[in-house]
Amino acid sequence: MDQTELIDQVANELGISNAQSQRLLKATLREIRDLLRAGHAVTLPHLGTFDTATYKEHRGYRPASDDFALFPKRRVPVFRAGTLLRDDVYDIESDEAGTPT
Amino acid sequence: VSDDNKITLHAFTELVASRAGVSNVDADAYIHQLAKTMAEGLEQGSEIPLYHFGRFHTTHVGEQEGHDPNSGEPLTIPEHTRVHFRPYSALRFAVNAPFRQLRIKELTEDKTAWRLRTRALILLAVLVLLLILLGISVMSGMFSQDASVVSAEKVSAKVEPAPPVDEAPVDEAPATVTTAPAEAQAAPAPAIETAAPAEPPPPTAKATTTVVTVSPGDTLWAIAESTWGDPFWWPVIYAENRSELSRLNPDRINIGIILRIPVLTGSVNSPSDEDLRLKTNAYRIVADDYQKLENPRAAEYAKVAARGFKK
Repeated sequence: MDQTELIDQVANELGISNAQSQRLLKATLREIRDLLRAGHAVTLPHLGTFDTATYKEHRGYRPASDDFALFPKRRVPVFRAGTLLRDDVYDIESDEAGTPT
Repeated sequence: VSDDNKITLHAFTELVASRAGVSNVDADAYIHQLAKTMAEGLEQGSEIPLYHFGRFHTTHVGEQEGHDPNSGEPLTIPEHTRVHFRPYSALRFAVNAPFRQLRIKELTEDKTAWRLRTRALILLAVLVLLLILLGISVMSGMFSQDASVVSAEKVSAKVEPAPPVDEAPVDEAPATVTTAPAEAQAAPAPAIETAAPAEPPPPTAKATTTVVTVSPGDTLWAIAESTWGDPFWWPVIYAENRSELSRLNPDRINIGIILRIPVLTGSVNSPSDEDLRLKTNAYRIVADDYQKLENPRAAEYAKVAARGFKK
């Protein structure tokens, strides 16, 4: 499923135009981005949480120079799947594997 | 992750609504539907790339051994699927904005850097050496040229003004600008051609006086030399003919005029007192004329005249 398919499906479910759906998707993603940039965490229902994690300055291996280097402090976006999504995916897979949970 | 930085769904919905320009209800419905659709898509095992944001994908994890974190008892984790989110660089850079200026630090300095540096140094040294060599060669070339020129000049200078007082050459100058004096003297000298002595058998009155016609390139210096064999007697000729010379400039005599060569009672090599007096007076006259012309040679001639000539 790529972005256009996602937009199409959501538009069909809600009965809105594709353009409107696209605009809303863009607004949602940009809002998430801006909130993450400000250091906030956003939880989407049924999906999961977008958050930021700050890594301290740490030593790490750099394949380019085949040596260790000191990586600077940095902040990265992280996503943690919500329990509902986890259960869904987990159940599906376990069902396929024949071991219902 | 603490709770104080969390945005409630309500606030988030309002933000999205204001950004998209729709009502809060529509935005809320959209967000819920979006999450549900994405969850369905992930359940089906497909990945969801979102432009300039990130990519959701799933990985399958096989059955593995683990333990209960509470009791520590071992248990088997069944195979399952995990959901991952991989942020794209646009989102990464946006989130990392506060620490954007930080750079990776090398723990051990680059051990290959010195090679480059020495190579650069060697290159620089070779360049400098080449430049120095080039400069030396150029300068030596210049000096050798200079040396030849200078020696020539020295030679000529030795030939001509070696004696204490010198010349005051030149004639001709048909309205020319004077060339470099040294050259001018050197050139005309050979061209002396005392063609003038055509006159010596003087049909005119004075059998005692020789007459010389000035031809182009002649100088008093040259005439004196060709006549007497000693150019330093030229002021005598000048003094003798001074009344006929319109310019009163010892350096400039007109072409074609006839110069009378005074007769010496003695000879140039063994002059009589009268000749020496004549020569001294001539030098004084020349010095005076030079003085009038503000020629720097005047001082030299005046000095010689004041010293006088002795046998």
